[in-house]
Amino acid sequence: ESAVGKSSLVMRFVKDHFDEYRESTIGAAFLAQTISLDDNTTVKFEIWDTAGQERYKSLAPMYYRNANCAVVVYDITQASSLEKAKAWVNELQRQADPNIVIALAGNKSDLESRRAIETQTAQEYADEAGLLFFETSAKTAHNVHELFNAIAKRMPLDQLADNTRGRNRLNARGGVDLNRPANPNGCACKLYIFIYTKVDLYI
Amino acid sequence: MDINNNKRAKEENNDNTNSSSTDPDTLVDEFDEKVGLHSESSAMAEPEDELDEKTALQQQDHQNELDALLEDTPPSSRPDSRGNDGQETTKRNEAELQHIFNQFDEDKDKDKKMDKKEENQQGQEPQEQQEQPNEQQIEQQKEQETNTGVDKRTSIASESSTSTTARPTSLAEIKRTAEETKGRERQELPFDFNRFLEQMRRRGAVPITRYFKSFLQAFERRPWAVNEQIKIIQDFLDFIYVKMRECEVWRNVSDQEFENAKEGMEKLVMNRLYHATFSPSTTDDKERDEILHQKISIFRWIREGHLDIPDTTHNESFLTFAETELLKINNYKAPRDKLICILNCCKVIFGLIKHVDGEGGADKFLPILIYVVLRANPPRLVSNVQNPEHLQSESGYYLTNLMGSITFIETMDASSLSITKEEFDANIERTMAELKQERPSISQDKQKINYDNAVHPSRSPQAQPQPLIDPVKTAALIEKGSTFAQKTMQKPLNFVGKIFQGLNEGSPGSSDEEVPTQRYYQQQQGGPMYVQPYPQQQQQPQQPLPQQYIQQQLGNPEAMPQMPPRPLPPVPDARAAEARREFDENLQSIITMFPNVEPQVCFMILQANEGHVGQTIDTLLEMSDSPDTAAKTSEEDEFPDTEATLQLSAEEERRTRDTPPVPVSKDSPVYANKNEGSEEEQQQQQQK
Repeated sequence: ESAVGKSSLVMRFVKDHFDEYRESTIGAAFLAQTISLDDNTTVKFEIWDTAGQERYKSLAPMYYRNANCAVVVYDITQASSLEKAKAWVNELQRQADPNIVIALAGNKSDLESRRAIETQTAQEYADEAGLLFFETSAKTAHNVHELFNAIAKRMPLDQLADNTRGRNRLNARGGVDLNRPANPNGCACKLYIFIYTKVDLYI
Repeated sequence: MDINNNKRAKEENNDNTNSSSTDPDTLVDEFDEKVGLHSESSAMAEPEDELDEKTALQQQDHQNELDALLEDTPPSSRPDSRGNDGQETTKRNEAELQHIFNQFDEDKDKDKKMDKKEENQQGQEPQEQQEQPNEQQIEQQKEQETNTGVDKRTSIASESSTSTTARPTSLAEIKRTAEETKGRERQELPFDFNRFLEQMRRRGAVPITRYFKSFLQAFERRPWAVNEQIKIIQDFLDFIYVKMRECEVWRNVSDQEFENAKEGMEKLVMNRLYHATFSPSTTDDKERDEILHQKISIFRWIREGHLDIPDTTHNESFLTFAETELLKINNYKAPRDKLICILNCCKVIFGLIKHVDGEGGADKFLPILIYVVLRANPPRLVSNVQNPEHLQSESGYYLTNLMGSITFIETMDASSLSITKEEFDANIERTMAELKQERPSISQDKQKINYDNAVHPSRSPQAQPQPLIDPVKTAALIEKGSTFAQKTMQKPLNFVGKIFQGLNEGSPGSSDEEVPTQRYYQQQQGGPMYVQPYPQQQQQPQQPLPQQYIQQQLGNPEAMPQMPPRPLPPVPDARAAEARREFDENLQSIITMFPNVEPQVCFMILQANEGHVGQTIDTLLEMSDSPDTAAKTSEEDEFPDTEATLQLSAEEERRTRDTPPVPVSKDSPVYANKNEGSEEEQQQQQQK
């Protein structure tokens, strides 16, 4: 659904994190952010924002194809938005890559007074569906980093790293190779794993 | 002598392109032409001479026409570099062809060839003597090209000074400064397709060119499925990159330069295989293109409101701008160039979003992109976005959005829009009726479309009838035009000649002749005529089209910031006038785009940005936000935006710099594409 704060959430995530990996040149619908899980692991998120309006719903598969994870966002002040979020989760679980990590985010947690969806309700649903769950506030940055960190940790990193390596090789052959990882410090003692992750945001 | 004639024509064209600009695509095409001739000969097995003669005969009519058209040209207008001696150039060209043929024959036996090469170098074996002079001549030619480049530089310098003196306005000086800056920047360009082609021509690169040629032949041998194509091309590139690294030309270059060389190779391959890889006959892309194109024309009544796009005063200028960028997609062959057109378009859309309400993600972006696609109705859009290898990262995201827009439009019905079913039906009905009325022109256009497709897949049909121009008048205009203009126009005319010949029409309709010019005009202007006129466009139509086209070609020094200076014959007045006019137009557009900014401020910023429209818009966007969005904007300043401080943008810039389409946000004027694109277009025509 539109206006639940997808874009703001991503903005917050990208903006508050390290500056050096910001990679958006065109506009705010695509943002990239890199986070370090530990000394050896760096996860790079390529965040593909998707239009939430109902009329574009049929286009969604184009966006979540090849995605490693998806964040489905609802608005805690709108009772109907969790139901729509559930529909998205269902679709993702049916259609997307079976290994996709899905996170549910109840945004606008700063608007406690207007809350229409209890945390408990959403948490139970998330547990049942096997989703990560956070209530976030793009405005105050509450839980935003926690959300993305949890996603990064949940992902099958080793496997992805292998894939990524494969993909990089492929990229090296392609022409427009915007994916090429920057060489981090050139420090040989650390193993940096760059994970290219598309995180799609829904609703 | 027929042959000579014919070849001279070719040579002239080559020289035109060479001297008018040494821009990458020119050289590609030149290169292509060689290779093309080469593979032609290989396909025809042996009798090169006969083949040549035949071609020559075929083109004789055309040649006569061309000669007739050019007869009136004052001799002085012909570029010096071509040599006053047509014979000499003819010989040279002939020799070059011969050289290529020889090369091919030798191709079959590598070792033998290497031997021969060595012998040639020593110039000992009489049998092989033939080749040596050829090589020398090629060298000579190259030298001449270089000289031309130098001449050109000086000529531009002198021109600038002339223009300054002739018109000692600040505008002229701005222009000059801009030019100089461009010149300096050019020196530092990391990616230079020219340079790559130059490397390819070195003797040391012979093994590479040989692989390249063999690959092209192998590729053309039969139609491949798309997947096969991708794999074959990728495999070849992988293979050739290794070989290139081993080759003496690139053995000792820096990694960065080698990356550029790789990119150059990819571009070369993709340009060369364009006809096979773009909208290949094994897919239904072409059909989808047609259907989409028609569907969009039926949906031309759609306005912002139908897609819930806020209707603001800025829409028109930004959307027209975005549309212009998107329409350029057909001007380019290489996927990366096409992609840059798309990214430019998206960038402009985000400019609008930012301008209107400060920030926005996909919710706001996608509807506008769809709307821009609907407005632009770019020909062959489906084929253009079939770039499976580029579906990653940011560019991949925006490409996906464009594909999404296409899918949306393809499946669009009343329920997809903010409109009642009744209204929807009424609109469709009305438009259908309108279209029917316009049918005569449409069917005519359609004819052109089909013909264009047959002639060259990249040439874009546009569905707007335009006033047709008498060829005689065109020729007269050419005559009046500057030298450069003449050179420029020769190519379309050349093409026109080929149309006559190809169609064998007793009375060539002026509509056919009109096609190239008209299309150029449209591409120059960037928009089909049915869109509301962009402020810039409003100012122009005082002159007849070709003249306008000529002037745009001629006087837009910024329009080719990435290219080495062009050998413009001294036409200081026209140039200064043009520079001034262009600046004024740009200023006018910008003022219209930013009504809430003082015109004076616009002027200053445009001046400060050396007339670069893209940059100016970026600056103004940041400045002109209303107070309530100002806070957001200042926050956003921390966001990656227009500054090339980011890794990616820096990288992108690097990659993009020397290619025709240039990211809007960078130091490049959006107009950069105009000339480049149309030139490539010309060459495409020329090639045919």
